[in-house]
Order: sequence, then C-alpha cells, then structure tokens
Amino acid sequence: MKKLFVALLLVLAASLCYAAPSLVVDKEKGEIIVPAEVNGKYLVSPTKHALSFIEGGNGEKSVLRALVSELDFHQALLDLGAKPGDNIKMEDMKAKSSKEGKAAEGDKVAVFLTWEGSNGEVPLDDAIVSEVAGGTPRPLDLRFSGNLEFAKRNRPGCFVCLDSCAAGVVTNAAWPTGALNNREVSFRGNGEVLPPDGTPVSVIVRLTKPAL
Amino acid sequence: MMFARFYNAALWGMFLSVLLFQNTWLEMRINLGFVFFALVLVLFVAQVFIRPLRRLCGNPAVATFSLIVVTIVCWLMLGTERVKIIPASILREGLMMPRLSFSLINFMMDAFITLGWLLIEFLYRGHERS
Repeated sequence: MKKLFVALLLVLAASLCYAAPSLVVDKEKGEIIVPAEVNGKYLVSPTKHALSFIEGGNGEKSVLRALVSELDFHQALLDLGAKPGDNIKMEDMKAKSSKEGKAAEGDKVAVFLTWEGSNGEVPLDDAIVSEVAGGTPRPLDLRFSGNLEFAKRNRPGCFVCLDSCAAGVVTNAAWPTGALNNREVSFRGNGEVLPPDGTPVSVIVRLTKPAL
Repeated sequence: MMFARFYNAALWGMFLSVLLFQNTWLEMRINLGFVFFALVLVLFVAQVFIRPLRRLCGNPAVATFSLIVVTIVCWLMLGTERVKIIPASILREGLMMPRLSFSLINFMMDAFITLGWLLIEFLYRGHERS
C-alpha cells in the first residue's frame, strides 16, 4: 500500500513537472509560435501539407507535425485581428487544373522556422522544394484561409497547406485548387535546409498585410 | 513452417505497400501502415489455406527468393536514400508511433529479416533430419 502511494505521488509529481507544448501568441509583434517537429518522410517524398496537428487526420502526412491543435491556431490568428478568406469549398477542390481552380483569399501571413542550430529564422519558402512541371517555382503566398467549420467537422489537423485548400487554416494562394490534381506542381521538404527527422522546430507565423 | 509463411507475408506485404506508396494521391489519403498490416494478414492466410501456396511457401528456398527479390525491387523503386526511410515510415505510420526513429525501425526490420531467414533455415534442416 505504501509503495502504491509512493508510485502515485511520483506519477503526480511527473505530471506536474511536464509542460505540455502550447501556442505562444505575441499580440505586440503580431506573431504566433507553434511548437512542431520534422517528419523525415516528406524530406524525400511529395506532400501538399507543410504543417499539420500530430493528432489530426493528416498529422502523419505533413513535412512538420504541430504539437498543438489547428483550432487553437485559428483562434490565435483571429485574436491577432486577422480576417479569414473562407472562399474555398470542397467542390473547388475537384478542379481539374489551376486554370479552373480558385486561389485562397484572406489576410497575408508569413511563416518562418527556427530550431537549435538554425542560425536565425528560416523562411518556409526555403524549407520547401516545389517542382513545377515545365515552369519555374512560385514563391509561397500564404493566406489566412480560415476553414474553421471544415476543421471542426473533420479534424484533418491542417495548419498550413502548400496549395489553395478547403481544409487548411493557412493555405497557399500561389497555387489555385486543381494544380495538384493536374500535377502542375509537387512539394516536399528541403532536406538540405531542414534538420533531420524528429527535430523540434518552432514555426513562427506573422501577419503581414491584409489581402487586397 | 508457419514462421516461413509469416516471413514471406511480411516481405511481400512491405513490397506491395511500397508499390502503393508510389501513388501520391493514395499515399496522401490512407494510412499505408494499416494497409501493410492488412496485407501481411491476407498473404499469411492465403499461404495457410490455399493448398498450392501452402506447399510452396513453407520451403526456405521461397523465403530466400522473397528476400532477394523484395530487397532488390524495393531498392530499385526507391533508390538508396529513400529505401532507408520509406519502409520504416510505412511501419511507423501503421504502429501510430510517429516519434520512433527511422534508425531504430530499420534496426528492428534488419534484425527480423536476417534472424528470420536464419531461423527458417535452422527449423527446416531440423525438420528434414527428424
């Protein structure tokens, strides 16, 4: 009985000492810091997900796994005063090419990464390789797409998608829906820039300027 | 030689999972680790209940054939860098343990492949003697 009591005390002490990862919202700087880690699989394979919640449906399909919920991230962006686009619907995802597709709207955000030994902030653009069929890569144009209802209903866990998407909180207006269906572009993590599989990374999301 | 059948099922299950992984649309939508475990089960059951397969697949020569063919074809499909990551990532996804390191999973897979093959040889020779 005494041993059981001691064991319970130890478990309680350990749980009190354990700091669960959490979002950091800095309203003065207009930035959110998301704790995440690298998924080495997508340093060598294509994906459309840059950052997804580890417990979400796409948690294991993303270059970076976020350790906090995408719903908290959505709320944090609202708290910073960002306005969601909410203009992409699931029907838009069926577009056969980017010409038929729709580009994400919403306030512009910029995403940077830091990790131990990163030598400062690394723009997400540098951490992602995009291969364009018969063309040149386009810089990321990240927007607060919103998509809160979809996220609540389906829990895909999508924080940042690399194309315009009906599921992600932040998505890339540079590639309208249909671009991936038509294989116009493919994305993967940049193994020459990002640290190895499992490395903890801080993802810094900053509001830039409102969408035009 | 039930273990030999399980060994073959695991190797060919991984080969088929790697083949499915090559389809990005599919890979983005399903947990290929679950598919791997389902394939191992189906292939094992097929070797136990389908008579021609049952006779053939208990033989260590088939295990050797599976080992050589699956290793070479996976390596040709994925290349040297990806072959160290993709099979391990499929297994990791199926186990739902995203924090397991690729090196640990590869060590376990290499141990299973090598010790499994030695065990099959050892058991088959013991079986033949008796």
